[in-house]
Amino acid sequence: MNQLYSFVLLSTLLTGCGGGGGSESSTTNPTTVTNDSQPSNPLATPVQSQPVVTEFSLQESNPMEAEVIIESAAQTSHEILVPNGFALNSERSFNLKISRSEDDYQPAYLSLCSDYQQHSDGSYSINYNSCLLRTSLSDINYEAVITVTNDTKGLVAALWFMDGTKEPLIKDWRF
Amino acid sequence: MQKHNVCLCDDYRVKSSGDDVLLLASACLTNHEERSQRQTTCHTRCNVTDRSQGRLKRCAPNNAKIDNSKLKINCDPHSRNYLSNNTPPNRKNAFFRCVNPLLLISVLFIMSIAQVAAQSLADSDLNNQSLYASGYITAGARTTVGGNVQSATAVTLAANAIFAGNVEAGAATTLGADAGVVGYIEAGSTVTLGVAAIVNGFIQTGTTATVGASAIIDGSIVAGTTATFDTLVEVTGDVLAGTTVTVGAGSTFHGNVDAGTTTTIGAGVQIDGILTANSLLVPPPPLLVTNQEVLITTMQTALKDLGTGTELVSITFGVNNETLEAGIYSTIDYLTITGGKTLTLDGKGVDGTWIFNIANYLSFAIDAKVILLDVTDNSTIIWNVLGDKPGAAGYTQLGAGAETTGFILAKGFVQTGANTVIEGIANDCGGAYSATNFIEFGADSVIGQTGCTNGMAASITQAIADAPPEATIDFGDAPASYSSLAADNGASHSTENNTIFMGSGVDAEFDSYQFPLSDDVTDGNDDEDGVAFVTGLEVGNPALLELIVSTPAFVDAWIDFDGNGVFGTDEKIADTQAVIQGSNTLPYDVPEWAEAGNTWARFRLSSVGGLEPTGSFSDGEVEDHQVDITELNVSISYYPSASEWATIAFEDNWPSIGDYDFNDLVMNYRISEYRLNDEVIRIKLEGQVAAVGALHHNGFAFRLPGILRSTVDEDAIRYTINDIPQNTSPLELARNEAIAIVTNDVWDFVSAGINCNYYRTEPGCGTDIQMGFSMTLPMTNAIPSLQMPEFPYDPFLFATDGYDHSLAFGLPPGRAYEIHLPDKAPTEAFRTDFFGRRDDRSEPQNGRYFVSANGMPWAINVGVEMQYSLEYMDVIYAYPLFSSFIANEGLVNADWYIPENANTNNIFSN
Repeated sequence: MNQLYSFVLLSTLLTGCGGGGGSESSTTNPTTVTNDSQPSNPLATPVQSQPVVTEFSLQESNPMEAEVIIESAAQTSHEILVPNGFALNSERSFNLKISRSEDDYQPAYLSLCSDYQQHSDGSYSINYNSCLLRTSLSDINYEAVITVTNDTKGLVAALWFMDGTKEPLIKDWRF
Repeated sequence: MQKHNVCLCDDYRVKSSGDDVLLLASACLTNHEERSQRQTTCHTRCNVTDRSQGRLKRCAPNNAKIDNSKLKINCDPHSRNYLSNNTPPNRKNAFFRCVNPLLLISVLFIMSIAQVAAQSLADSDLNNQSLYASGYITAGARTTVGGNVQSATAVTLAANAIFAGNVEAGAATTLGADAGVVGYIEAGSTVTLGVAAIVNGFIQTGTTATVGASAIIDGSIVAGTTATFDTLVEVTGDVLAGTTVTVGAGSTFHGNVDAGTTTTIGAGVQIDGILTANSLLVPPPPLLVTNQEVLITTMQTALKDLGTGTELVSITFGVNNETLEAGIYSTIDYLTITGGKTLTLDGKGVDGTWIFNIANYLSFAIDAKVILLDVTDNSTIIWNVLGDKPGAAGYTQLGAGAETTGFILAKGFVQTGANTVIEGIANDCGGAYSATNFIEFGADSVIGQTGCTNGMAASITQAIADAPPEATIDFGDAPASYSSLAADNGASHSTENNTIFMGSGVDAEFDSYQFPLSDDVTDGNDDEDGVAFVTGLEVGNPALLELIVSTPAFVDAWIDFDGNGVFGTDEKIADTQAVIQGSNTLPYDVPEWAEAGNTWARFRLSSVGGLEPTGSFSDGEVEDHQVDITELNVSISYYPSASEWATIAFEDNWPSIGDYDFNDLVMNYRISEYRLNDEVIRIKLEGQVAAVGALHHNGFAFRLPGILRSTVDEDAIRYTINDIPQNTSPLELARNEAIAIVTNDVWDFVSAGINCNYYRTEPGCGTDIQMGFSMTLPMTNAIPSLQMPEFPYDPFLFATDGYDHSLAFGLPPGRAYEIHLPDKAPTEAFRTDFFGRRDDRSEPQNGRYFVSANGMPWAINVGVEMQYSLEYMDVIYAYPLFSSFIANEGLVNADWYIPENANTNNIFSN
């Protein structure tokens, strides 16, 4: 655990001036702590944590809406006319932003994954083998561009805290 | 004993003396028809059909006459080789009857390891042995052994001990006074018979034969060196000694006596046959007894892997009288029956099998007894004393007066006190093998009733075949180096008590499925779901994982941090860690010395914990997981995700429009980017050839747009095809850009199905995937994220050099021919004058590439493992939403390609 404490100390020095991360997260709600796992008694004893507001934002880079649904008359592929040089891409680009509060500098690990289930009690089961992004977070702000293929039905972000005193933060988006 | 036999003489000595042909047969075989339709060969001395006093003996097969005009080899030529020194002689004792106590453990069970091991046993020298020890075998006074005996070293019978079968010893055989061997004796070194000892069969020794006074030998004697007989010895067969023969007074020899050197004959000695001195004949060496430890150990492991069955608790079982029905039983320590107590094996009147898999030792205390109740003759009892618990010797002990039934396979020694009994069921001989050590029987013991027959072979075979067929064992799925297979003492858990498991359940397998085809892929039941690596693993950093458990238990876990294929003791991340029912978060550290890359983790859940990475346990579950370890602070981005495939599918008639089945080349692939400080330090490209629905020869590659070839650290590239490391660099030579060639010709790796034209596109032409690849490209200079091309970079098809490709080209276009996704530019290898031919309407100046007049492409890319069209099937018939997806420029039916939107009649199914 010594390593952990030194890490925390260091990040205090480094991120003292960290910008508070623009949170124009118009598409998301402020995150609440989500229980997807109970702390286990033989292991770390959970500590009452301060309420922390961490914001997760996932926004499509170039969102477009279909204004009018066009019917296609093509019966075969030979008859298809591709409009406007459409390149038939089957994926979209998203901007992921995570903003933690200025005093929330503890080491954390972020996974953004596509195979998950949300249960009726609000907890999540996440397949951590299905992720699009896996990264440790050292700064209180994090941004990344995520390429998401069109078959993806939703994404979940899971933020785990390495010292085990806080429960993970979970946020998901449905497409 | 005189018998009239037809003989096959396997060994013969020929001397001619004038008109007479003398055949000395040192060991003859007689073929009988034998009951049970098994032909056995009974040993006897080769008798004479004609006897002329003192001078002539003839031995001929089938009573054929000897032709004196030539030295006729009247022996079955096959039989001459029949008893070479290194093959099992399959000679059986013949004297009371042609009994044949075979011991054939043919474990016909679903696990092939057991079958292979059993067949090895059946074919081995042990096939007909009742007793085998790698060490010595000693029988106490008045002990009787009903079957054949084999020791890799010495066999000793104390006074009045009787072996009703044959004796084969790697070294010496010694009989005490009045001891007897009904069969033959083969000894690697010496044979010594005490006073009045009796041997009904022949004796063959490597060196000396020493026969005590009044001993009786009915068979022949062959001694490599000296044969020494005391007084009043009677020998019925011939004697052949390599050097001297010494005969005491009053002895009687009914056959010939031949000494390689000198003879010393005492007073009043009667020799009915010919006495020859200085014959210089070289006696054949005896049978070589080989050490069978490995074979026995393999059999023991195979029996152990039949399962742990019902666990018998060592400290309580056998303290009082016990009764057990047929089944598999195991202990994690010893098995003992307390003095005077009984273990009743209740067969309930039906054929049954009892197999005791004992981790430590087996002990029957004084007067402890195994009693059979309603046990049928076809039943089987096996005591498998493994001694595989650390520090365990795996011995078996019977105290004075103890009695047991069945067959004992022991790693260590087998030792009994006086008046003990080890017998078989009904007429079986039963018996014992010690893989590594000795066997000692105390005085007055009975090992197999005299006259026992029909060894365990048929009954064991039948009983094991009747054993419950369903698998009751859960194995780990990691590659074999981690000891996952049964034969490697792999980590396994009996699933008969299915209450302790991780995740949603545990499924049993017959043996460890070897990655990549773990059982979770083949049987659709993913039981590797109890462990979640909720954080990644970074060298030198702490990490977290989540464990879901069915009931409070203990977990032991390892991660192969250094990637050496073995779970070392310093790689244990959880040791007898208590876990509660439900979710448990386990912190652990990734050590500084861990290697970045893909490796394996093993989790073993059990009721007691403290497990090693290998070996079986009676409850709980094992889960093996692959994990990626990265360097410190390295993040990973995946396309389409860490576990999914994306698909690029080509029409390879470019520049002509084809049938739009988009299956001429179908590649599944995945891209991983490794970043440190927002710069890409490494990428990984993985994939497989899903289909080749074309006759053209095409290659496949990834271009990394904007990335220079020199940026890639070529020497550090790791490239495998079908897990085989490739010797040549995949980076295309003499290019400015980084172009990674997966293959120059997919047809080098795949082949069409039987009666098929193509690979996996025609109905009924399914096969397994035949080519998979994995390429790791480290960068010498990390690439800032802004300079990295977007996913999926630029995968493309190119034509294989030397093959015709299209009528659009006069000569084979080879490498200069490429097909890319719409609007992806070709590489520097492309011939730009190919643009605009036939149906191609590329406009490089406008950034339009590889599209037709209608804007249709020759390649499509989707984010799933696509279920592509059947051969010649326009993709629109397989995926009806395709046209509206295009018409609405992707804003509608963006997921047109998912399996749920497919017309299943028109897609290829394997």
